[in-house]
Amino acid sequence: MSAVDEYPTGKVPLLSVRNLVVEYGYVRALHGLSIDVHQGEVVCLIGSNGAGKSTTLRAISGMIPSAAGSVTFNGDDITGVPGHDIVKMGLAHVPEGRQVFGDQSVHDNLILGGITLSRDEGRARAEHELDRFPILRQRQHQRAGTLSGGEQQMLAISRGLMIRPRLLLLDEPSMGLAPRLVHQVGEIIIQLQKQGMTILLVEQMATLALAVSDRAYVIQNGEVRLSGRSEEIENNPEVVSAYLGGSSTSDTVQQHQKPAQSGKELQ
Amino acid sequence: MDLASIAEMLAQGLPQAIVSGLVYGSIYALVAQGYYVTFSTTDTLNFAQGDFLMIAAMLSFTVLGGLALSGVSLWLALLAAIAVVVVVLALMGIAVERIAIRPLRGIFSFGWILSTVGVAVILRQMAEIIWGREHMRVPSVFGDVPIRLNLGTVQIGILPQEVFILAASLGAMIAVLFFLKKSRLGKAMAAVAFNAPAAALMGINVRHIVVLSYALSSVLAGLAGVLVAPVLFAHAHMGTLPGLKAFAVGIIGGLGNPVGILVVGLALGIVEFVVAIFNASLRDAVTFLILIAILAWRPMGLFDKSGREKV
Ligand SMILES: Nc1ncnc2c1ncn2[C@@H]1O[C@H](COP(=O)(O)OP(=O)(O)OP(=O)(O)O)[C@@H](O)[C@H]1O
Ligand SMILES: [Mg+2]
Repeated sequence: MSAVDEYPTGKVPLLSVRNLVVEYGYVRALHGLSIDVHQGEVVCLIGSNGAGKSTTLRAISGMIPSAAGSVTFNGDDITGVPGHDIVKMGLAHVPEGRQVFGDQSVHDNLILGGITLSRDEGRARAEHELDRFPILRQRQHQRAGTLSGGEQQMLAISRGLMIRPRLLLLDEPSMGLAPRLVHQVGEIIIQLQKQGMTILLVEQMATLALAVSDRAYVIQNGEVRLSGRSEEIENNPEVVSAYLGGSSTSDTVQQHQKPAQSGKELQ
Repeated sequence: MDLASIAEMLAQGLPQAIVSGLVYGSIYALVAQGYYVTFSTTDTLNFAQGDFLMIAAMLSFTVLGGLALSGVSLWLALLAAIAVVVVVLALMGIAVERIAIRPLRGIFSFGWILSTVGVAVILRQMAEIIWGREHMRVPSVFGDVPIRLNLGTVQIGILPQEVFILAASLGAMIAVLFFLKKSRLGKAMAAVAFNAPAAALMGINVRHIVVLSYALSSVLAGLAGVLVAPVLFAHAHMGTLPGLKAFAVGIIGGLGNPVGILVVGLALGIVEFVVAIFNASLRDAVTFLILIAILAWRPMGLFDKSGREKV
């Protein structure tokens, strides 16, 4: 995980969020939040319910407007750019709760993920994604709504990967999944990073998030409370008591620090 | 009237009622598919849809009649009328979305119902100003000689234009459904209908899709108008009943169920003409009575799986 070592050397970050303020009506959800994500990094945002993690991702991808602050992606100021245009710049957002198109087939969901590509490229990319996730190939003609929670999560990630994004935003990919599948999600993230993907990961399951990421931000009440390399955060006593249930070396962490073998679902 | 004479009237009239019913039912279904298209993407629909049909009929009177008088072949004139109607009605759909729907789509607002009904009234009066109050004849490219079929003792008559109506409206519906199911644009529309924020994350411009659905919906009403103009007289109030009946078809067939709409549309047409065997002037009243009875029985429509709405 060499990207961490390169971090403070003055390289321009791929994503730079500065003093972001987001309001839902009169409720202020983010109070001037700043984060950076560098090329090749996996960065995670952890924090309790309602801390503002999803709001941060939504504001980055243009799903919701921001009241103040700026988002710079790949050198472009994308603050206020509509979400459907941000996708075209190579930023994919896999939202909380999967949000697959339940009434359309698995294959059509992938095609929709690549709707900004040319028709032929979309088809070719879908084939590639079905190779990456063989379970999706088996189910490609099934309606997405009939998939299990884990399969829907694979589909949501795969759909996000259709555009070969420069940056992948993942919101709680482990939500509602059985421990075996949570482990599998961790494997997928590790594999994606090996293939050069840059990922901003939001997780309530802090053990998982810290195990697969290079750096972490702890978000509290719409602000960055702590930040640093994931190993440091993992051993920070405050974090341990608040998010890791008093133990910094749970089984999940152990599993993810040394993935036993490359994920079955990945090539 | 005793039972035997009722049976006799039915036996004599039923084949004709079925044929005519399918023709006019296909029009209700075509107009109602327009409701389906916008309702699925926006949860709104255009209550002026019937008057859009009327405007299309009026336009086809002007274009077809005008060109035919100046010696252009009727076929060419029909193509020109269709082209004009497609363009004008698409623009009208875009305009109605922009003016009467978009500003009023608040969470608690049913304002769009009022505003589209308002558009209907405005269109009717404008039509009276432009085209007058007369009922105008629009020529059919197929002529006015009915095709007669002898089924034993029973005779059926059908105008060639009516055959064209049935074929063209079924063809248009199949084409639209195929487009919605198979094309990337259709999939994008379905994605917006299912989950608009997620669709936006795919790079789909939700607003464009909404505008497109209104344009498509209006063009379907326009097509219906061009088709029926030669068999109904074109006049400013001709759209009111078809628009309402198509709305009934949408409610009963399911505003999210295009196949249900097709089936119920055809069935409604047949019911109307069967009622008309006995009393032509009660046709609309009895038809709506039946519709109300069906809604009392199944408030969410015939094909809704959740069954009776719980109060
Ligand atoms: N659509 C909304 N309307 C109003 N308030 C909202 C909305 N979405 C989120 N909020 C509020 O904004 C704050 C941040 O919410 P957010 O969803 O970003 O939290 P989160 O960190 O993702 O939490 P979780 O772990 O539960 O997903 C919360 O107080 C929440 O109640
Ligand atoms: Mg969240």
